Amino acid sequence: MNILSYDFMQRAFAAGIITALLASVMGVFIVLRRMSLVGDSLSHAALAGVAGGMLFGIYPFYGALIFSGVAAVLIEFIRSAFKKYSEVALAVVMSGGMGLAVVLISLGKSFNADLMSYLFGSLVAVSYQDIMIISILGFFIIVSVVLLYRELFSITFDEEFAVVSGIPVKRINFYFTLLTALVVAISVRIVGALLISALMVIPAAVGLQLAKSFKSTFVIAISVALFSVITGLYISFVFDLAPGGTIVLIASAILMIVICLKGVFNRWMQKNF
Amino acid sequence: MYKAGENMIQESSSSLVKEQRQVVSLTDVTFSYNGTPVLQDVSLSVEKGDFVAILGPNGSAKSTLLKVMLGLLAPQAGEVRILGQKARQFTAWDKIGYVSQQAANINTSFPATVQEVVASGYYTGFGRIFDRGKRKAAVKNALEAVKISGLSHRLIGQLSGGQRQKVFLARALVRKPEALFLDEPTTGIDTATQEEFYKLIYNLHKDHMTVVMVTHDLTRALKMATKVVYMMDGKATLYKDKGNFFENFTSKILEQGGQG
Repeated sequence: MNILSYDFMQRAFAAGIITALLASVMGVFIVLRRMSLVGDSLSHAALAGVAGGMLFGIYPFYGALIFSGVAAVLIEFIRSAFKKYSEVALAVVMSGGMGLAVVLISLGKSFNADLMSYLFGSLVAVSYQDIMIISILGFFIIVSVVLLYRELFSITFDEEFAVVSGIPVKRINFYFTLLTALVVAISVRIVGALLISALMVIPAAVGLQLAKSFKSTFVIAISVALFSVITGLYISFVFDLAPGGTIVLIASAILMIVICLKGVFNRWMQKNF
Repeated sequence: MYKAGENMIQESSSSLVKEQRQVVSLTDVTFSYNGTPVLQDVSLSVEKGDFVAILGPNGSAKSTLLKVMLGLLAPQAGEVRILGQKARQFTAWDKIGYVSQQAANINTSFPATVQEVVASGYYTGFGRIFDRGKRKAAVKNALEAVKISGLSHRLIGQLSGGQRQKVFLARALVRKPEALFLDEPTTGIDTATQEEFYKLIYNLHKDHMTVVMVTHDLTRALKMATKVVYMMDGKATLYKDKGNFFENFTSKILEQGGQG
């Protein structure tokens, strides 16, 4: 049985591969900047966007894009008021987003299968329109990150030094949060709002365990994300499981195995060398 | 203008020649943290070729002064100029090198190699696609200058504190700046490596690099520096002759009878 003979599976794989690439690349920067919760905050806002879209008859994916974009602006705005406690901004936007989502859902009485697909991801739900949006935005995001690679490295490693190098740190930080919002909105389709953050953080965490340089961190994170998404989609198709959960479980398993093997390896090295 | 005081040297009104010689100049600068002033009406200037040591007791805002000089902190009052330009509009960052107190509090699990860290100092804006070759050469030279070429592929977290601080020095030097700003560069480093580090700085200064260094090491400062800024209670006093500072400093300590 060739699962790629189904049109909807072709679309799911295309969307999944782009999502894996974007989420893992952004994830490395996000984890190193100790902003692992950003994905969570933005995804709750994206969920409110989905609910709002359903309520007002706008395509929910657009609702997610708009709301997570607005949430990104809000995070930066609140953060500037609480410079020393940047996690306050994340907590406020996360609970605010969830609150708004719940209210909008109850207003629209829209707790249905369609909403469930945005919560936990879906294989059958990816439309041609979704693929078009995901591809165009995905290309734009990857080009942005490649062009800003040096700036992002410098800011992530040592923000003060980045300022003295002449990097427009504030503007790039803001742009980066907007890019993250786009990635979150894109990921809602395939892994679901509740699990996006995991797809950003877990591959990056594996990268940090094994990396021999900054660049190799990306290679590892991308590989882990691609492997998890491809096998996860396959397994969820065969066993009729929610794709988001399956993907995240595979990625988590890889992280656990890597941590254990690394511990064993280090002990073996200490004993023998 | 400086506040009244015997040891403060009067600055003549700035002629154009003088301005061109100035690396950094502060005029009546006041800086406060949450309403508490830590720098009050500070005026001083660093000229090309100077080696200025910023001294003072713990908590006397030495690092704050350095950050204000670099435009990292914006003062509430007064004017800061870097190489003649207002700090806020300053753009010639390639002429400025900065080594912060990083080595002591760096995230040791950051997955970056020495080479990647030093290369991050070679920032040339958005037209950099064509600079690849130049950047590589500059990184190589900077690593050789601080004698750590052998470490270039090691992860930053695997180095000792002293080696790491040399990496940060290389990162500051990679664009061949005219002036180097150092904030307690040898905190938490063993004495032998400190010696080596200071020798590097001393040689750079001999090759006409302007150096501004925050330090608590009085003997070292008096040995290497040409001028001293002494910080105390929000005031910064510039001694253009370090001998002058030394006399004043010892007599002050004698007067206070060891209270300070």
